[in-house]
Amino acid sequence: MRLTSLLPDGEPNCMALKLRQMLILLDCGLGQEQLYAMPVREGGLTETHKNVAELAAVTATTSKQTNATNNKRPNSTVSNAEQTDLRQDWASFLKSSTASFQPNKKKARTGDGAGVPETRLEGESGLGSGSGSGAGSASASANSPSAKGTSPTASRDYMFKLPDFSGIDLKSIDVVLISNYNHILALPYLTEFTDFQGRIFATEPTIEFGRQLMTEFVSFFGTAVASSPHEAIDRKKLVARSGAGLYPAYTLADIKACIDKIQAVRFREHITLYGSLKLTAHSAGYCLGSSNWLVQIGTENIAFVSSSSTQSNLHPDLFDGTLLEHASTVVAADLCPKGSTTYDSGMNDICANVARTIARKGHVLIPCTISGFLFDLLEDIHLHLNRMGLVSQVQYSFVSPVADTALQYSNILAEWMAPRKQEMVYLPEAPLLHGLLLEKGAAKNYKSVHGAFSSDLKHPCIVFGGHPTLRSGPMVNLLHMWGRNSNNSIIFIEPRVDVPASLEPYEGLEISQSICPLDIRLSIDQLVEVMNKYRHAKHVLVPRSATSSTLADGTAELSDAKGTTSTSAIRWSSYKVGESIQLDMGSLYETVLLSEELAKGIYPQAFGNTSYAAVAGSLSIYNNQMQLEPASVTGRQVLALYTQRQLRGVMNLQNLLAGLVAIGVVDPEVTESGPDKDETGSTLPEIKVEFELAGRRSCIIVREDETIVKCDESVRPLLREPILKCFQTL
Amino acid sequence: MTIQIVPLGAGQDVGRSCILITIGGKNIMLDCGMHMGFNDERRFPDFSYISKTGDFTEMLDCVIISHFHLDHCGALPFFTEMCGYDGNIYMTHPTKAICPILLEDYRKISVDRKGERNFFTSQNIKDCMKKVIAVNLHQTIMVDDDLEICAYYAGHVLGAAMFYIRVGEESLVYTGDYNMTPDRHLGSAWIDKVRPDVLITESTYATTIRDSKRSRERDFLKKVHDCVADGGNVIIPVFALGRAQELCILIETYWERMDLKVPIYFSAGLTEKANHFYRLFINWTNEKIKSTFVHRNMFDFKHIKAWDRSYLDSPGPMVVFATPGMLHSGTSLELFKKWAPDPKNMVIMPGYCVAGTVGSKVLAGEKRIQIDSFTSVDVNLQVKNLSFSAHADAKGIMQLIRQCEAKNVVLVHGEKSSMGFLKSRIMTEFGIPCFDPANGETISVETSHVIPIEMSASLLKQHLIRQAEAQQEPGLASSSSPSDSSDDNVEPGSVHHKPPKAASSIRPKDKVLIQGMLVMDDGKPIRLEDADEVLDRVGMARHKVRFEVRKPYNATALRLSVEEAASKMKSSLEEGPTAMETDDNELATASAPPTASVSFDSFKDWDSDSYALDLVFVALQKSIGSHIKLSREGSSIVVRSVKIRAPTALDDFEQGGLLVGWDYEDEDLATRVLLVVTLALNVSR
Repeated sequence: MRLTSLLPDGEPNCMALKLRQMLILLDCGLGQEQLYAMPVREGGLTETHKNVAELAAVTATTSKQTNATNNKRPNSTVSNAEQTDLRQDWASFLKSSTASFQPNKKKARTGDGAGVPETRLEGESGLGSGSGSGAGSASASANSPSAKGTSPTASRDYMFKLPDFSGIDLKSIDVVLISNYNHILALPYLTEFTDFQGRIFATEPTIEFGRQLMTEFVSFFGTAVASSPHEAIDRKKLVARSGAGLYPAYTLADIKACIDKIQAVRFREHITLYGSLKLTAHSAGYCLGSSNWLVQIGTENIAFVSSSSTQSNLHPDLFDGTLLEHASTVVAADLCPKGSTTYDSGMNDICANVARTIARKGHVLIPCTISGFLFDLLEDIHLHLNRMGLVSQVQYSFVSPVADTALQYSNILAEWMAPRKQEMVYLPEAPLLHGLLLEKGAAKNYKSVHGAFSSDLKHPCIVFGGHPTLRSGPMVNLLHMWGRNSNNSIIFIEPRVDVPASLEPYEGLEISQSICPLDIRLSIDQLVEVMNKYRHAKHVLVPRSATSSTLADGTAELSDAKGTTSTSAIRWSSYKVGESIQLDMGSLYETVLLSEELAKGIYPQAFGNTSYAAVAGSLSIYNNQMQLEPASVTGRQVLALYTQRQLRGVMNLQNLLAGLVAIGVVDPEVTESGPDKDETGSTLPEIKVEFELAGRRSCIIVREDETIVKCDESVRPLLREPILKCFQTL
Repeated sequence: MTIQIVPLGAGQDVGRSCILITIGGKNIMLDCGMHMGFNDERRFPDFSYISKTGDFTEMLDCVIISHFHLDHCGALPFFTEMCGYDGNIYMTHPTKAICPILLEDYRKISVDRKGERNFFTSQNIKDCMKKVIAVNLHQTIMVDDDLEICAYYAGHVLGAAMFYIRVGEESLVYTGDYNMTPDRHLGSAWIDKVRPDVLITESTYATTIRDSKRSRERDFLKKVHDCVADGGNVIIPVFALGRAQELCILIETYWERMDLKVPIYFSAGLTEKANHFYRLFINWTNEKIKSTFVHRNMFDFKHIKAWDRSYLDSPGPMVVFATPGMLHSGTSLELFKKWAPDPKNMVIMPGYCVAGTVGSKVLAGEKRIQIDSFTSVDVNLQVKNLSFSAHADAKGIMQLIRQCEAKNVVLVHGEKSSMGFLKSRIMTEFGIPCFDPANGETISVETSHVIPIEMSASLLKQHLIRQAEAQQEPGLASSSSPSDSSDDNVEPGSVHHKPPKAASSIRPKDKVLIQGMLVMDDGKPIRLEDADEVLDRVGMARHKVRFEVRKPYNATALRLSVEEAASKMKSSLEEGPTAMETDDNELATASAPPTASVSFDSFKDWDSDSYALDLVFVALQKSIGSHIKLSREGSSIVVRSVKIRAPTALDDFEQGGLLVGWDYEDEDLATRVLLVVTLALNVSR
């Protein structure tokens, strides 16, 4: 097998696994790193956004006029109107960002092609700060179709770096396995923009939450115009050509097409493909539907352990380690970095923080996706506030384009939850607390901060949603609104987020910031523990970051507390982006069924502890199942032609002579010749036995590993037995 | 190996489904239902069949419940709590959730209403449910090391499942009740192509076709509509779960489509809770409901409102779903008493009623019903009995058999007469055995016992290449004919038919002849490997034995026969080519090449050995040439290690005859070659 990691450590997973003739893509995550180099985009504007309104007065008027003219146009389509709205937002944003936040601060970030958007950003900002009305007019001019392609609006699209597909023939990928929804965002690029034609498997919740995350991604980072500008380009070539370029986000249509291609599976459902490949998802305990995959080909078993958690007090179904019992090779990915906060300790901090803020009547902002351990955290926060007597004052708001779906959907997934939660539906009660809170009106969900959000707003409020990088989505507006009040707080709970980088574009924030990233993924120490628990001689591959050094024999020393190294039972090695790891898998076996009829005629012979039996039959391949049956009469005749008999052992002259005498040979004449005695020049020592049998002269020449019998046809049947008796046959 | 099936209930009958199977030494109970038609011990299956002493836990490996209808799970608390079964019980999540509610309902009727004793208690039901292991669809559950089960969607009611059961290489599918056409809130049953040895299928609607069910629904809706249009009230006695929701959706959609304003009420405190179950298990409904539930949950009914006693005196018309379903107490009885005398009103009984209840009397058509010792009521209203439970029809059953490719079919859960009809249809259409056992009758199905082994992939590859090569030999492939290839597509050549070469070369190779060595090591899977490799590993020295034998033949006879043939040929050439055909076909073909190569006048320097070699070569090519490579090198013929040659002066053999030499490993080949040589050279005819 060969394993190649396509995204760097610390990013979502994407790995190519070449196994025998199969090419399997393990996960298809989209790198998040480049997001920090992107400009901030408003998720939308609110009436209360005074800063912007004041500072962008001129622009706003211009835009309003544009808007008004647009509306007057009788034949203007809906999408046209939407575009205009977006542009209006953009115009205001340009103004506000340059004037109040100055996002054009130079970043120290290098490489990753980040230079492209940065230069653009610079140019844009120059334009914006140069003249406020200039930006406004630019956006207004974008309304004319001729200016569309070149308008600054279009060029400000967010660009994303895909996994490095350059070394892979995408067409030859047989299967894509998705472990959980955090590792699915790049999938539409693969399915919609390349000639990929393999099959994709994921659990039902992974597909649904994956769809939601993609939708959210598009609404945050999608192109500003409704019709995607890359529609005109040959989409297939776009991604296939290179692995290193930057691409704009896909569209909602791409998401639908991509999601439709995924086949839903459940835990421990056996999937058999192409006759020899078996796939099974096992619960990973990390989030709803999170899975680890067991890949079996022939008799070879490989376990892909992605984001997993052995934490047992959360809502997802518990970690199922049984896949490790069968696996000879384990690929571990998405481990928790050293020194992360565990859920239990971090959760207390967060609760305390929330309570303090609520007590001083401040708002709490929690930038996160509406999924995963948030559902547990909400329960803990609610309990904590309840204990503190603060619960009656609080409103929970979930702001995301998919908040409604995410909240409702998560509550019908009891089968995918821990037993404790499963029991709830028998009562019947919604297994997750937010079901109750939504019903009672203590929690509300909104598509964005527009409209109902501000009118419903109660003080204080805890807001969940947005994108953790703070580059787009509702948190941007809310930070503008509430960021200058030190009574409010913002709490970062998601791991994998670079908080200083997230906050970099924002200046003059007074809001109290706390960073409590909760990481429930397996740490390297936990991984070692798990591997030792499910003991089976195996080879474990871990990300390079989880190792402290590579030893001389190519194995790795882990960076866990004990500095674990390879033992006879477990061999550890590491992988890293851009490097391929080659592992020898030994010889391959196929499962075949031996028919009862054939089995009856088999008589095994024992040599030591092992028995052997020669077998010959006709192998039929039917329904992807191979069965060995007795051959037909004609088949047996053909088989006889190919039969190779075996003789083992050393010829013993005494036995041979005794055997010959027994069949009536009188006085065989024995001549020895060899390198010493031979005059004819032969180099091999040999013994020649000559005799007369049934009136025919015959001769047997015995060498070290060879015996030659020369005789008449009529005599041979007599000679056969005594000669063969000297050997072992099978 | 055999699979044994004994229905304890549901054999040629509907009710108290309970089927015992023995597969690969495992005993499994499929469903544990009760019979609604009986009040005595016949209502439960006869568990003493399993064990006279009551050690059920010992006897059974597991119990599987297909869905929550009482005729499939009604006897479960009795079996676990009162008979003492303590082993594993499997059912799906919704079944586990809803089953206890129906059991409790049933218990209340039997104990509280009819005063039965020795019945299971509420606590029994709770304890029983604690033993249940909930399963998810398609999830493979290992009951123990050998027994695995897997649930498939059955679409009959919420959470209904079909179960695939496998032990080793033997497998069985039990359908429970299922429906092959998606209905208002459920999807259709679906199963993988699992190719079970036995399929145990329900056959409730064995002789019905689906259209009739649709029209019955239409009929039902029309009757309800007509009744309310006339100002009558409709009462539908239901249990809170199951059919109630099916009917609610049916009426709700009709009301929506027809834009009716007549109020619909649902009595019973359970309703909200019941609908909540459906909301939480939305994943088990059909795709349409699933995809729209975020915006509008199908079980949040718009037209159906909660019943309040104060509506009792409102003028109507109205439609009321009232509990309980057998009109024996509560709201349904109260409403019935009030509405029964008016012929404008209507009662619809959607389910079965226990004998002795008001419901059963209504169904029996009694015109005056004694409700208790003080009150009796005149029954003038219209009575309809309609069952809308979703079952597969004959077409659906056939479809399922085809879908899973069953090798045997066992029919249960149906009327005997209609089973017979379906049985003959299955046997004629699929050509597979079909059974319809009565209760207590044992069916034994023989299965082939196969042993799974692991075959080295390189061994397979080696054989595939060999077979491909043998068939690609130019001019030789044409000698194999498809008419002989019924069992193996490799067969000794025959020259009688010459099929077009293209056809045989593109035919897929579905059979490969394999030879190898089975290696049986304790604790490891049995492996089939290349014999040479295995023996090399055993570590014994290989010894080569070569035989060289003189094959004498009658050179004079041979020469005579050739000369005779030549002169015949000569004369036949003179007489005309038609004479050729009268000649013995085989001889003519056999001697054709040598006569062509040996000129008629060249008998003077006659070399009988080389002529004999020619003859042998032709004969060999005809007999084994299509499978193995022959080569002619000067004065010798080589087939693998077998070498046939004319003797030279160096050989210290007696003169006369050909020399045939071979290595012992090719002994089988050599035997065949010697036979061919003997036949070829034996021309004394």
